[in-house]
Amino acid sequence: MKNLIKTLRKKSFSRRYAPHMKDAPLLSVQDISVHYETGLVLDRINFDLRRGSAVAVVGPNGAGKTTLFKVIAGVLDPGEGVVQISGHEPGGHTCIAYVPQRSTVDWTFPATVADVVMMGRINKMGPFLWPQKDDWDVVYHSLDFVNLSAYAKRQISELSGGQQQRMFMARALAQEAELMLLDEPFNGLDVPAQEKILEIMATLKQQNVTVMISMHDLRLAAEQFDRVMLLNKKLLGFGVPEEVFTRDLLMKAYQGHLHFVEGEFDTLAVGDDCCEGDYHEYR
Amino acid sequence: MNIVDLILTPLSYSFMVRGLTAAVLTGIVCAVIGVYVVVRGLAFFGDALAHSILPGVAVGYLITDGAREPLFWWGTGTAVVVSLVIGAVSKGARIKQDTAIGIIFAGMFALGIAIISTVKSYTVDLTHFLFGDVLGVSGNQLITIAIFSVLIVVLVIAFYKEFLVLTFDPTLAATLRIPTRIFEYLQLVLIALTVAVSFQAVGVGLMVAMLITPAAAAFLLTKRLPIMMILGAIIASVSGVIGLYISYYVNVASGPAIVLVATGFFVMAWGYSKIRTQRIISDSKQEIRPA
Repeated sequence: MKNLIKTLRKKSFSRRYAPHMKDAPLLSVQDISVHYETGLVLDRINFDLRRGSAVAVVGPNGAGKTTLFKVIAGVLDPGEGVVQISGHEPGGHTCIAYVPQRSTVDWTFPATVADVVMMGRINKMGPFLWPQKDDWDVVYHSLDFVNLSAYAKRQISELSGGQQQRMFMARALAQEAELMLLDEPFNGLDVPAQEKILEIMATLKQQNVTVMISMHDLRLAAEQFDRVMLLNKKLLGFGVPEEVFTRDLLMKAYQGHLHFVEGEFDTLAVGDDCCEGDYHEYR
Repeated sequence: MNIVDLILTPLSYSFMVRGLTAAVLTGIVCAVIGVYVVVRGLAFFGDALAHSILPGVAVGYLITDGAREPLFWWGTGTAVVVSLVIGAVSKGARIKQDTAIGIIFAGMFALGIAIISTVKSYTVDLTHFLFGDVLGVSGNQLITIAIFSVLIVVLVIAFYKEFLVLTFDPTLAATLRIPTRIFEYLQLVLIALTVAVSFQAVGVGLMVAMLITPAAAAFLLTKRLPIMMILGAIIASVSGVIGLYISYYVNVASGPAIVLVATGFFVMAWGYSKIRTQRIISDSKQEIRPA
């Protein structure tokens, strides 16, 4: 009886979500413009994304990367244009996960790692229900996927930066997200921590999960992603790194904030906009 | 007199039994809702809301000619309206949120005192409104307090996961298509109802202590939100009972006695968490010391 009520609740609850149209691209962004009080943030952005692709979104601070992600996630209403996820507007989808920048999270919040991952599942449980065993199974499976099972019962502030990032990826997995939007996941992480995240991403790609990542490091973007997007209010380039990270387009994106140093074997592009003072290299 | 007598003697007075019940109920509700207040950093909002119900209570007091029981409804109405107004104003306004809250808080409080000051017996009534009179709770009032306490706790349990996500990560709540605006206002209304329920016990002046002190003490002792609510509720209700006994034997006002006991619990929790952190640090130092 209890199970019957549970199933009924779940059925009536999940009916609200938008269906996925088979032929439509996973993500289609059409003529998106966003104005804030301070001015134009995104200017007529257009692109399509196929299922299973991984894209690095690169651009200076204030280029509109977070805004673009929030519009795609359906959290922010664009002034103009249309976003479609598998043929329907994002407002009906719960298969999009936005992973916030770590600096925007209250790490003193009284929650364990498992609690935070469980948050990704709450709309799968149905109204008035607390997490059941099935839900916890998914949580621990997701934590296992990002190699954090041992930390499940820790308070979230006890994690290192890389572990915090992986916890949020586990939450996106628990959410059963088909499109993950990772906002500056590599900020402040050392190389081993970055590599662990890249490993997880490679596995996600095998499972046909689509990932968009915003980042500052041009070299990492060029080395690790077959598709990159150069953004500064306008979409300046979208494609393979060799075609997008050209001197012309980079100058356009970074304006005065990128300097080119000619070396013996290659050219170094050095940015001065970035928070960590790290350099960006391109060939 | 032995300890059993010390505990049982006050219970022979029915006003004391009603007072203890009211103190325990309001303690539980305040601590549970107070967890959201503490975690979301709404202490100032809670304090302001408590003070802002004064004009409503004062008008009710004048109209009903000093009857106590209808005051609950006047307080509830004012609290709900003010919480929604603050919620709306702090969203759209060009001034900062704490400034907006401060203006409404001070204006409403002044209005309340102005209205009460037109009554002759004003100081006695004002003292009750400001600092509470839990021992003056009537049977009917106790029933109202009980019904609303149960309602608030049931709503918190029913929407536990929605409130959890909304409090920790509003963006996630939005991507999961939870109606964030509705739950945000529901949370404010729950805080308002809690203020109205506790008005009789601690008064408007000390309400913020009941909202934040037990919850803050619990925050120092646990790393999970539901445990924080349970611990907070225990600390608050124990503070209520001990406070009332102190009030009975030492002859101090009941509201301040309850708050002082809760503050004592907070200091103990703070000391315990300090010792625990230091122990963890020294343990980890020993671990990395070379053999």
